[in-house]
Amino acid sequence: MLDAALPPIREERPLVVGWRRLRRNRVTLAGLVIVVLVGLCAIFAPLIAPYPPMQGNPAETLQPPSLSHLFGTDSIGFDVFSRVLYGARIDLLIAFGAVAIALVVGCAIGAVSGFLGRVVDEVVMRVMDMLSAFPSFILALGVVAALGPSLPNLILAIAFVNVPVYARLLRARVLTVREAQYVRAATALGLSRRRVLFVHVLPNSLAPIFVQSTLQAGYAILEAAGLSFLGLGVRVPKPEWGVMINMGLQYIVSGQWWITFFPGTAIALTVMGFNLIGDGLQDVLDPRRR
Amino acid sequence: MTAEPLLEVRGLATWFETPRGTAKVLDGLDLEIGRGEILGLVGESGSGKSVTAYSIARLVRPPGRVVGGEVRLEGRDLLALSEKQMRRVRGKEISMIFQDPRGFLDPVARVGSVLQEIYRTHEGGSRREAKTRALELLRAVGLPAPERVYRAYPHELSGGMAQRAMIALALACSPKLLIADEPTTALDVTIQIQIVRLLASLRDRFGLTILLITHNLSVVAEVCDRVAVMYAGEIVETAPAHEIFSQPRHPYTVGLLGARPRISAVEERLSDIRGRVADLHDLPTGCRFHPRCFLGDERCRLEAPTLRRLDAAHESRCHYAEQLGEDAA
Repeated sequence: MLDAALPPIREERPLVVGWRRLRRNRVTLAGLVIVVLVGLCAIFAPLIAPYPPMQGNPAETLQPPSLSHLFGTDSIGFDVFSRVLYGARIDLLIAFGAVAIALVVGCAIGAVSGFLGRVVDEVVMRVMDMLSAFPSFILALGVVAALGPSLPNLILAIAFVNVPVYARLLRARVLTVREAQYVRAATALGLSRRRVLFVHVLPNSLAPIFVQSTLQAGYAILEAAGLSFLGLGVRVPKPEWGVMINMGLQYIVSGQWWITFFPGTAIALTVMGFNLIGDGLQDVLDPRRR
Repeated sequence: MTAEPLLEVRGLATWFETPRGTAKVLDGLDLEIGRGEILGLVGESGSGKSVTAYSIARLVRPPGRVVGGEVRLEGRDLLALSEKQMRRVRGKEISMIFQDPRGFLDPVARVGSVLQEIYRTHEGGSRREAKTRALELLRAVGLPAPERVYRAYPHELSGGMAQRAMIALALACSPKLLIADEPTTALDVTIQIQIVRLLASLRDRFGLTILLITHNLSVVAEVCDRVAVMYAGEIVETAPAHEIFSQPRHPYTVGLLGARPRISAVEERLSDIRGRVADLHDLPTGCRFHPRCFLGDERCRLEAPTLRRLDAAHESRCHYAEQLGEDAA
């Protein structure tokens, strides 16, 4: 037959291709490097940190940065460098925890809402509208205040305010993908609605979710630090970046800038890292753009 | 035809609610397809060909709705089935392939996994059985290196290969009827003929019955046994394929044939059919084709013709069908 005339198939493993695209995308790569570094700090904090994070030395309070205390010490004599390292643990935990919960819950809501449509969609989306109408920080503040300040509650609160973001995003994608020809074809070949949703609609809807997640992780850290700064999340003396800024606040005027500067920088860097990843992730995830 | 037809469509009506009112895209469509037959359904864009296909498979989406009629597959009325029962019919008894094969393949799923999925949904069985079957199918549709296509994503395939893969998907569960909705329109001309011949060979090998929707008369000439010509939601003529070309008995068919490009007639001006496809919101009285017809007269304006049997296999919806036959002869 005419088989010989058919062109060869381009065959490449997704991971290899993804990596190649990632390498070309400098910005995303930089973001990834930052986040991975912060992650390594979190994981190996006990090995790197020169001092225990929650054991102050009353003899060495408010020391400026020096060789023995790289980032100086605070008013209780905590080593700021050690605490910034340990802080990465708490803040990354909050970021990933809150994003993971929000993603799962929000996507479930958005997928069902978009796929079923009609009344369900209308009701669910109006509830989401109500939630998004609050400034998210104020809403999270209210939730923590109601649940009581603790690390798990902080994660829950931040997850809660992020749910509408995912629900909306996934719903919008599902509405588009649902009309795609391949979804129609899958239906025409006898697949059930549930299978069509899970096997064909969802996987095709997820790329923007991942992109959004990197941004949300950044916001989650900002929100966590903000709430903790106000005393409504992680509490003194736990090494969390927001808490640390709070502890150093009154010393800014008296010139002990390092107590707030280093945790602040850590927040800024980490948030930036997540945002940079988000910028190029879209490219890496789309199989058609390989 | 003596044997009971595989598919019998009676009085099928599919309406679309639009801001301008109800568009009766199909309003009393009759159609029959015999076992093992390839029926070509031809007509201009907007004549209701695809809606016919979707109505048969009950895949019409709002604002469209099948409002009446019967679609009997081996005597069983599909329109009376529950959605759950219908799901078992789709893919297993009636399958569809579409115009743009790449658009109709899930971009993030490998061809093999979709094949497996469809097969296991209907037939059950282990992954290994499904894979064996999948490779068998990919080979049957003439794909070289089936193992590689099995692992490929749609964007890694050419249009022709993707259409073959789509055909493999449609045939996964040995359906009785394959509805092919403009399967060649999006392909290169050289690939078109390959795909059409593939369909014909699959008919012979698997005893498939095919409803081939197309506006390409060359495709019809190549493989169809019988042709139904559609205009404004109605069948206006059915006849064996060779008769349609030699003795068209409806002015619309005559027009279609004239509008078909032929190599031998390059110097001739390509003729067309004057006017536009009838507005489904505001159908002409009498014969729906009369405003565009070269034979249209007072009778056509007032009296709607019925689909009349001219001989054993030829039907026409024209008052002057006999006259047309004489002219051609």
